[in-house]
Amino acid sequence: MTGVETYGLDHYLMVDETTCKNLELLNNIQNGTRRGTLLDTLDRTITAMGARLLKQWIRYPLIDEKKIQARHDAVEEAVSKIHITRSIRDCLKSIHDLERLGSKISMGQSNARDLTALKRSLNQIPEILKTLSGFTSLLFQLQETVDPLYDLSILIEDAIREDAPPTIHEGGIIREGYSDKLDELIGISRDGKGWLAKLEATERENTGIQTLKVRFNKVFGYYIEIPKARSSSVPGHYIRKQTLVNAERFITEDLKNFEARVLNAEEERAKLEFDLFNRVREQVAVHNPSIQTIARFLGRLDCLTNFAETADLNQYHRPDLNHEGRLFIQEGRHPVIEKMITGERFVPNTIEMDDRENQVLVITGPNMAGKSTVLRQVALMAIMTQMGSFVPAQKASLCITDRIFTRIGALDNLSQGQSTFMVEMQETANILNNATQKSLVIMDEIGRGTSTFDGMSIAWAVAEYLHDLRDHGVKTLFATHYHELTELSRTKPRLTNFNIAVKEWNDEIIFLRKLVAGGTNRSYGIQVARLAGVPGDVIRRAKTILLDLETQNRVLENLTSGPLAGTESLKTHVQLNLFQDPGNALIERLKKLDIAGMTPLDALNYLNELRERAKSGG
Amino acid sequence: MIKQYLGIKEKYPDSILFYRMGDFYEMFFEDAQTASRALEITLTSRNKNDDAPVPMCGVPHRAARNYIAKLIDQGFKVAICDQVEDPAKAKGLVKRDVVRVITPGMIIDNELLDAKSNNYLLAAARDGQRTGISFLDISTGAFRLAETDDVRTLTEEIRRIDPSEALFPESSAGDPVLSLMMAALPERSVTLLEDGVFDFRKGRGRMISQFNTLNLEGYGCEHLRAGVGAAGALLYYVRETQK
Repeated sequence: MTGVETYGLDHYLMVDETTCKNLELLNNIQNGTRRGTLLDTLDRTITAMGARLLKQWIRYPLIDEKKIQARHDAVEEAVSKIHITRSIRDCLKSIHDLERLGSKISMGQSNARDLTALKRSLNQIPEILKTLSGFTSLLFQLQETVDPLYDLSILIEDAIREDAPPTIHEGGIIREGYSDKLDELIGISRDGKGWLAKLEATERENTGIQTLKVRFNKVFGYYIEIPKARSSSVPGHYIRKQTLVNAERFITEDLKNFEARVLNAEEERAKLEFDLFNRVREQVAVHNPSIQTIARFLGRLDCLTNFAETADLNQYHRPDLNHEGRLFIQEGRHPVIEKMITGERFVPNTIEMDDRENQVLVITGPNMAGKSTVLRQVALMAIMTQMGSFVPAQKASLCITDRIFTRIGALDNLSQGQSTFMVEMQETANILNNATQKSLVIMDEIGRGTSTFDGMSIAWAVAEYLHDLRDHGVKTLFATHYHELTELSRTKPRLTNFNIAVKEWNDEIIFLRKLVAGGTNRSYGIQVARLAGVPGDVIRRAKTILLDLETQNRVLENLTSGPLAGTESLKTHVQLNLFQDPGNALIERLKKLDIAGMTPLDALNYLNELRERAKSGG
Repeated sequence: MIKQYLGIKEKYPDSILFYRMGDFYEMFFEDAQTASRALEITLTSRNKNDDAPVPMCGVPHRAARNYIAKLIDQGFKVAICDQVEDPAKAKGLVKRDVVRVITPGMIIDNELLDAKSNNYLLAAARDGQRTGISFLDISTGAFRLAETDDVRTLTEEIRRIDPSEALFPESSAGDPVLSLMMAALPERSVTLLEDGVFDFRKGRGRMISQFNTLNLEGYGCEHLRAGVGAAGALLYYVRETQK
């Protein structure tokens, strides 16, 4: 821990948990793994610091324009010098997890291998800084006050062996030449024989006894053996240990020391190495703040060059930021799906939203046409822009969003005992209560979890509410298969209809996946059902029923002709629909009615009669 | 020996105590039953012929890391109790003490961690109308705090942080805001600590001594009483578990 960072919860684009799941930012919906997520698509980070930072950037997109621009500037520069960028990324491959190494070392939990990993990482830094020197973007500059820690890597280089074991109590850690005392110990344990040979030679010379031998046995340890014949020439400092038939054995102070050292050498060496290692470790630990600063710098470098790499490989472009509340995406693609589909080419779409005519876009079109894809790609692009990435579009200009809300179906919470519809309504309530003028709302098939008329009524009312939110409305992408909702554009000035084009051909449908202006009046549910393999009998029967319903509906629409101005008229529409038989009879009677020939009282009485009939069901 | 064991275990009631005996870490009583199930190791007993044999199981200390990882992964805490004097020099029973408590939020060993994710320990505290949160990744040193009076964003925020362990004051269940926040996290990740641990002044003191500064102005949180209370609780917990 080198300090604490205070932050404000409103300093970042708020992407709530539901939206994070819906948009599959970090985990996919099928099995919760990374496959098919935005993270997976964007992650070409090389270092562990970079990987963690990227995850944080996805979860904490910025809302400060200057900071976003700074990231875009850096990515732009890195894209423009992509070859140099790639050579920097090559250097990053030798960088270990400096954040965790530094923390481990400062807490005294590290081993020698951690130190050599640190050294190898630090050794890359001069090369990285040199390559970066031509880069001018602010985020590529390492503060000049930061110590690049060259001394530290020299210290580790001098002290720690490359082949050190993972244990720290058994020696084999410290390099020869680092400590005289250790070298001596290593010398002893490795080269005891040599020392003895040398001792033998010097003692022969000193005493003049050429038959003097230095030997070892288990009972006495090391000793000097001299033939009895020469025992008179033994120097005074020899200590007699044993007398044999024709020889005498001695020890000397030196030899005794040697013996002690040899026998204890291994143990002593291990202890000394541990001490030396600890001292090196402490020296390194002092520099943990600098290690952490460098780690953060490298993590950021990794993330930014990662964005450059993905932008280059996937043809992403730099989005502009505007202050006009405009959200314009030309030829935009879904970053994840465009990588997953095989065979079919991903069809890009242009989308434009603002706070004037195109604030609420009602998107109709059959299931499977690609409504959800369009919706999600807009939300993903807002997130990508604000996290500092380029976006999968030919051109894009976005305003800064404060919160992204999504209400996307198919996320059942059945395991928690909540019904689909309840979850749907809770999420909707959250959106309606918390969206601001600067938010982006994605509504995909709201109202699907209940009966058609309930669902349509709720969808209708929610769309109106979002349009009127705090008198300004909120940018909303509203996908629905209730094509009735296209009527809203007649009364709501900032609401526009779009649909996903479908081509009908011989009673078959072809999905064009192209977003076009205007509404649709068909949902092609039966065609979709056939594509899904529903048996022919069911399809035929469904068609008959549909035809029936549509005929009746047309009658009703004649009755209630004129715009469906609000929920009240919708309700009438819906309820008449529910009780078709009495409705039909009443309509017939109404049609025959000659109002011109009636007194007001007659009219009132007749109206009363109609009401009674309606009540009694015909 | 069992007496020494019980004396130590008493201080770590919510952890599985790894009690070092020679080349093994042994577990006794309930810990042994829990761990043998969780680790799929054989449960045996000490003093088999006694009227009341003591359930026991053990793992070799050299392989302890893997077993600890398994337990942490299942949401348990592990207290490592080592011999704290040289057995050769000890008179009578070797002195032992807990040297480290490993909890899901307090993992330093890189091999037990996902390199691509942070591993956060979170704490939440209240001070008047304000609620503070603070979170720390002990393995990287990342340490942040925030404070607000907007409950809804806080619940979203702690889901976003996705901590592997969270510290709450003992009295949280009775607090409308903290109980809501606790409910947003998986139950097993919540650790309750005495309310006093979350005190602003104590927390401030711990932070000042940790960072070796005069005050917290430099970190922009001198006046964030709830946030500093939460951060202080994290530091307290770190010191308690890392001896």
